[in-house]
Amino acid sequence: MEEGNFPTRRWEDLKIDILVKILQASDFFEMIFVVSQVCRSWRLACSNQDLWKTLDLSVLQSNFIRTQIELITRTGICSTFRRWEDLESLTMPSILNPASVIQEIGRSCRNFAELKIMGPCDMRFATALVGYRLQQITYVVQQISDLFLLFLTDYSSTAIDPQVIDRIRKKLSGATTITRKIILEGAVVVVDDGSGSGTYLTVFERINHYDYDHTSYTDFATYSECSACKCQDCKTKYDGVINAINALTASVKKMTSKRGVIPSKRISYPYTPLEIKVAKRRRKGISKASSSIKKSKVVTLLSLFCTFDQCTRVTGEQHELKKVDVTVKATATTTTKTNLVYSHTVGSGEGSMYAVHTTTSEEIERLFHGRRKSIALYIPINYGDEFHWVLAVVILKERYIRVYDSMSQRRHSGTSSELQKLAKILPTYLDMSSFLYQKVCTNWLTIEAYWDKVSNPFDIEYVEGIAQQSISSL
Amino acid sequence: MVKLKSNDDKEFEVEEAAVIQSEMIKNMIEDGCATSVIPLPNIDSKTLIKVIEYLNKHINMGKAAETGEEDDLKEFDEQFVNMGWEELFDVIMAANYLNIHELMELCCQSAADRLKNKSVRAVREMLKITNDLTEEEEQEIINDAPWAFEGPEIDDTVN
Repeated sequence: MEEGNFPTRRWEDLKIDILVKILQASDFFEMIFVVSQVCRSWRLACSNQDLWKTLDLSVLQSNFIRTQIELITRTGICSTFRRWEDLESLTMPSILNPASVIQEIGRSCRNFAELKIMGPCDMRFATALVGYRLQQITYVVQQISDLFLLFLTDYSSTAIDPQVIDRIRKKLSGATTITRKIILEGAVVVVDDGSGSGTYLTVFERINHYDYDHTSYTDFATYSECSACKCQDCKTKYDGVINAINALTASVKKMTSKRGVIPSKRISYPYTPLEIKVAKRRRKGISKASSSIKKSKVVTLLSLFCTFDQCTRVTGEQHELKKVDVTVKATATTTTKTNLVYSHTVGSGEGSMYAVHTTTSEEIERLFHGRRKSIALYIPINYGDEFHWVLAVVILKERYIRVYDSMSQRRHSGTSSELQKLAKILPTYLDMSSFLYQKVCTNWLTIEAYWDKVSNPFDIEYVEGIAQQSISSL
Repeated sequence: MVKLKSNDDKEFEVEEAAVIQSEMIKNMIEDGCATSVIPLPNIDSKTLIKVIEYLNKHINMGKAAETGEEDDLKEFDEQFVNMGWEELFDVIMAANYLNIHELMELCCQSAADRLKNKSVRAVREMLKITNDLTEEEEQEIINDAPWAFEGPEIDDTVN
């Protein structure tokens, strides 16, 4: 059967499943127009169901075909989806008749799990989403320029409270009414609508660091820009922040999952902030990025570049701080990773506790796990530009931060910005990581301190009467 | 060692460790059907040599990952798929018949890459496909999606 003797190699006779494999290996949507016209059998292969689990029409957003989408009639779309039982994911620039389209998808596409809309998401759309309850859909993403909205849907309850629908409507009707809690590059925040019905509205946003609000806690977003430009110093610090936050989130997450009280959907929630994407975007130039470094103060929040060894003895009613001996591994010459130092209450009995240096996330996880009732979080914080450290003890149960400052007279006016940021960031992370929704040992949401102010910053209390040192002692 | 026989009656000896990358032969060995020569009526010797070359190279895949020879393997793969359409067709058919997943993937990827951005005419010419669509059918396709026939990216060259 030598070459040319027999027409054995006929690509048009290629088995359809092989051809489908070839098409799957490519960007199918780029090739469909060509492949579908080559010959009959290839055209047939193009309608194979395996190739059509995802429909990404985002290309239609380009000017090239913009007008064409209006040619697709409502009945056309509806009858398409009616036959399209295997559709799993749909990306569309906009949906003109959301109600009928969503209804059709909800009715026909049993495996539908992902809906991405790039256009405006108005009330009609929201109503349709809720009204035609897509049972299987896991999330909806909306993109309006740089703002992403992610709606996690879980309509597992048989009947939806009309109030919930109302809330969603309100939230969808305009970006202004959507609570924006924290902004991290590529990260996501879940905003609970408070109803407990399992409907979540999530906002995540890419902040342009030209217009970020200085006084708010969005500063983290600027770091991605910094690290993108490989500003070494800043990058190191940023890594530290991320490591610390990751560790914190991971530990909380692990703990909650181990206790098995969180519905699986929340655990599998793919957008927890564990993945903080760094160095993905480098739109801005170095000079711009570095100017933003100066602006951002958070850099100093967790930058531990020295050996911190301080003993503070305190006598308090509830929390007797026996010894704080925090050592952070840091070498003087090389820029190493920054580490957050966590601890927890170890002592038994009369509330005596001491902080232990802990630098790996595994250790933190181990510490968190099994000591759920009395978690206090010790975070040494470097003060601004000064060579001075304070110890912040986060008391989760009472929702405030105790600050041990050995140079309290230095504190001129109110709380330092670092602490304020910490106070704001913490509730958001607790919220995000579902920490607050676990209910085995402590029903957080029923504690008075958390009641109705889940998203409020933590209270900050400076502990008075602790040993002081003079400024000159440095 | 396992003996394979191509459709033009040539026999090849292959190490068992290499040949079990083929799911089909692996099953045969497990079922005890591979004691003598395994005839492969769908594969000619030229293609079989090619496939055996691939199997032998990929025999130590796990080891390669440890010793950092992945680049080596990648280079081999690139060289390997550097063949004509007809040969590629044969290898794809063989890989499909023998059920060698990795090879199948490699070849499909290569084919897809080559088809990318080609015009309909170019694809037909490259693959020597006879157009069996009638003119009416073609016109219908064009009418369905007229904008699919525009655009600067379409490459009409054949190579």
